[in-house]
Amino acid sequence: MQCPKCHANMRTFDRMGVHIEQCDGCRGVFLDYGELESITRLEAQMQAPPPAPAPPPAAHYPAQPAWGAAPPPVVYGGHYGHRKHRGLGGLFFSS
Amino acid sequence: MSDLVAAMAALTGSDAEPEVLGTHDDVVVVRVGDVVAKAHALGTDAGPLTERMRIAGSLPGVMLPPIAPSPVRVGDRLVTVWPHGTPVSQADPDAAPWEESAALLARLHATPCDGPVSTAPDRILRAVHELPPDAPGADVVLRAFATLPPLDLPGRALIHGDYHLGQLVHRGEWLLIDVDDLGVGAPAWDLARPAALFAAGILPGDLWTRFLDAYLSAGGTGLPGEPWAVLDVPARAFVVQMAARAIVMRTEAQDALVEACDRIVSTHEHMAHG
Repeated sequence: MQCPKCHANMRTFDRMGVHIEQCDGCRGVFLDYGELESITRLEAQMQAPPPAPAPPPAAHYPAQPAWGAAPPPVVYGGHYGHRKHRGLGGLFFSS
Repeated sequence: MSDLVAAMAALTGSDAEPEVLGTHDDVVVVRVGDVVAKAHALGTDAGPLTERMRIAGSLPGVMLPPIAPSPVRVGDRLVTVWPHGTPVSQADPDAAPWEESAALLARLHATPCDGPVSTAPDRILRAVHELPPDAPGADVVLRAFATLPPLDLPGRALIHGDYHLGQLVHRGEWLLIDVDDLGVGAPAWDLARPAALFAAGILPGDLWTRFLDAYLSAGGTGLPGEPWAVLDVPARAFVVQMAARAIVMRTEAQDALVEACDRIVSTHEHMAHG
């Protein structure tokens, strides 16, 4: 097709699945119906933050009675059991 | 005390330098070379102690067998003599033999039992009796104790009666030691102390899971069905016992344990009253 502005030849490019006609003369761009919306959508996807990693299922924390301590906050890459009472480990060793 | 230690050392037949390994309440443990002598608590009966030693000697691979088959009286004490074994290192609880100890308990619980009654529940009652009611935090501990039903739990097996990681030594293999509370009772008593420490937020969940899973996969008979249905009462009892002792001994554990007593009270008192 010819550029509606300067009548030079227009060439078709495929950019991320969207067909774009660009003029070899004035570098103007022609978009078909719906192509502007497609580009806007692509732009939004590229700027959005990546989805947060899903938290590990809470079901992995062992069962405990109604009076049990609250499960500790999960630390990624660490044990799910907390070590906040590290100094109390002597209780594992004496009665 | 030094007379007692010297007399205990003489019983071992070793001329190595005696080393006092520990004194806990009025129990004294002395190592002499490759042998350990234990002076049991005042008031210990020779008959049941001898029977417990016989049971320990009949469980190779599960319990450390005594060197001499019966206790010797030294003054007002009964003294028993045992091989020395290496205790579990307290430096790294993650590396402790949680699985091995659970498997040993599973084997112990599967042993046909006939012997003295285990004194496990007495340990709970003793700690509560020794708690001054006006000590800070004691009211919450006593209210948590009041939520408990009578401590004659269902289940009948040969149980250790005072299990914790300090009751293991390595001597070619991991073995259980300390026969003082060994006898016939509910196997849940041997599992409820780690359960209590887990529910109190002190024992990390992954270590509790290692212990529990190892007990179940070794065929442990003490937890038919849902584990906490069986563990709830004895674990509450152990929280009360440990909290009472922590208050009396003024250890840093008392805050976490009294908080656990507080949660026991708030989840159980309303049930008791209607």
